[in-house]
Amino acid sequence: MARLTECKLFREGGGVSDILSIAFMFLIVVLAGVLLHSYRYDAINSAANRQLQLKTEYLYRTLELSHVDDYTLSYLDAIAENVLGIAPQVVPGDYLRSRVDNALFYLRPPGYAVVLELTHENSSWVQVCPSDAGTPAPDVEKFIFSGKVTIIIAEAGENRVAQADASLTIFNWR
Amino acid sequence: MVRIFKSVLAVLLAIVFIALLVSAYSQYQSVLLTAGLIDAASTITNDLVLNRLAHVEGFHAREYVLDVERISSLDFKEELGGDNFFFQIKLSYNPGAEMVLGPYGPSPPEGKPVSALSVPVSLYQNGRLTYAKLEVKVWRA
Repeated sequence: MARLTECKLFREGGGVSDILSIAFMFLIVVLAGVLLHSYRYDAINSAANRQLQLKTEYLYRTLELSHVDDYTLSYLDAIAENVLGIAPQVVPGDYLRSRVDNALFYLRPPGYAVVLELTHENSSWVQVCPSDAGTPAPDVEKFIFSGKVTIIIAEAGENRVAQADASLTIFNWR
Repeated sequence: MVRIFKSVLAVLLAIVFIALLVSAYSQYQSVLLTAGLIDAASTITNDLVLNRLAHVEGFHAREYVLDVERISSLDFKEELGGDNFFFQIKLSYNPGAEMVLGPYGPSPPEGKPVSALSVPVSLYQNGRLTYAKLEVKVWRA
């Protein structure tokens, strides 16, 4: 009688362990499926992010090199002159702002907003394109390229070198 | 009967697991190829802007400044990491009354993945530097 009960218990225990092992295998298959397919787009997202960083640098370089309309001054040089308070200004501030806005609107990646910022001591120039995009929220993915704009100021005695810190930020807007 | 059912279920789970592995591997391969194509577009664009189309002043190439006249010397083919790529380029500038130069190079094939990248550049024209957009389409040979 005792042996019969033991045998029955053993068989029941075996049945439970079989079901447990099959359930465990099923769980592993589901987990493996999720894990194997979850990271698959990371490589594409990384490559796309590298392209956006490249575009940010190219936009900065374009503003650094391209001339404002018929002036022989680049966009960043003209803004730096305004920020450094050089008088008389080669490109008037309001006109320059509209030209920079046109350039940023044309050159920015579709669906992305651009923030251009130049600072020197207490003076700064901040321009956002499109203007209703505002500054990026802290949790939004941003692509930043920064540098310095150097201006040589001709003064009575000798030339003076002044620098403004420039940064260009691109972020997903719509 | 129960034992047969358990065995069949175990075999079925093993088959599903192997099928999952195979499908994940093939998808991962196609994702890697796509990411490689996107990176190839970035590399080719960089090479064009910094070297092959850069405006030359004396013996010095001005990076980020494109000389349209150098487009005629391009062969629209590049080898990267053992893979051959073809590309097509297009330049657009003057947003008020947009001017488009190109497309230059072969047309992208139908049914093949193509990566397109548009970057801002400076264009050298008649001694002036104007902003423009360079669009590069890249595909595997």
